[in-house]
Amino acid sequence: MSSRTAVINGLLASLLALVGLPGCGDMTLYRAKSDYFPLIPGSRWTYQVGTSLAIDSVANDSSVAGQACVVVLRDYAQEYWVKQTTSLRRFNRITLNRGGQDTVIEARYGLVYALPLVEGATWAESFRDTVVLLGTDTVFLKDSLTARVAAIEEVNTPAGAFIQCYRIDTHREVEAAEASFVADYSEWLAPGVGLVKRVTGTEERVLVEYQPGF
Amino acid sequence: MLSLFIVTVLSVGAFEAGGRVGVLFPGSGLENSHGTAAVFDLGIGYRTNRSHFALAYGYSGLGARQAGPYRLELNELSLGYLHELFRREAPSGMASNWGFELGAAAGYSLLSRTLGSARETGGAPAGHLTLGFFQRQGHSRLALSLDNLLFLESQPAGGAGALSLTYLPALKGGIAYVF
Repeated sequence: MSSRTAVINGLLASLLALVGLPGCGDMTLYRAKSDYFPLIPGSRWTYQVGTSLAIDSVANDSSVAGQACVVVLRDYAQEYWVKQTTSLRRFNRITLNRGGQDTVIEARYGLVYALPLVEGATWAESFRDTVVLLGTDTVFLKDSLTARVAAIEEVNTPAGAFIQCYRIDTHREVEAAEASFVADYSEWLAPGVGLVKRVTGTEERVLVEYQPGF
Repeated sequence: MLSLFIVTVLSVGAFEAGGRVGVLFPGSGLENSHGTAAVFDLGIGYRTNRSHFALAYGYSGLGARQAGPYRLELNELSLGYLHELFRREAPSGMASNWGFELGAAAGYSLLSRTLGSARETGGAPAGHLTLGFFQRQGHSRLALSLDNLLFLESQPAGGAGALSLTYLPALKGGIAYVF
């Protein structure tokens, strides 16, 4: 057998073995290398929310509170996101009105997702502060979030079927006088796409169209 | 008949056992969130004149680009074939020879991703294409190689169809004992 034939035979044998094995893999590396929250300018997500449509898009880079961030238009309202290797943070801004004047009681980047996403991972963050308004009104502020990567699922939406989605169950609790709220919601993040479905106690938001940015 | 075959095989070739260490580079998008990692191989092989069949076990653990409790681990068993493309025979009176070899291997990797106490496990078939330099002296054989790993993953049955290829190049150096 010539050396060329031997090498070709070896390569073919390896190729056949490789091609014969698909189905054994379970996309572990695919999840490891995928971006589950792409913040690429020009990206646009259209969601069905009840009977109406909502549009999210990535506008541009900016700087808020002394930190470089990405501006996301969520239903045309500006949000500021910071993406790092270990976390995705959104700028939380909570205001209270006293005497006809809005006063900011929280303005910081709060943890939304801890990265990388791994099934079973949990994270939590709690921010506490005491703010005195108009010199006399003391407001106690607590903004806490706990979340868990609950499952890896396939999600069917009007925009198509998305495989290897992480379902993230989140509980957020804000205590801030009349701005207090509690929110429990589940989100499905698809590789290379981002949020494809979000379910709260009262609302379901599903992706109907996605246009990737450049 | 069998004993004749065994005698023939043993008379034309030689067994060898050795290990390799090196650096594994993340590719195909893994480099955005993973750093380079050390890779360790242990293998046994059988060598005839220019051909080499090898069974190898390899381990590598890729960490996150930033310090943290995340780790992607690969444990792989592979079976491969290497062929010496060029060999410079030792002049008479000298004991060493050297050359270049090209090889291919197929294997299966057990994969795990851990972040603190959270853990995902899986597996994927992998193909190797190796180009290397070797130097043989007495019973020892040194090798330096570029190992190209290609992992093939597909969505498990019942899901929407998807195929994912992941390329991980590695630079490895090692020594083997030729019996």
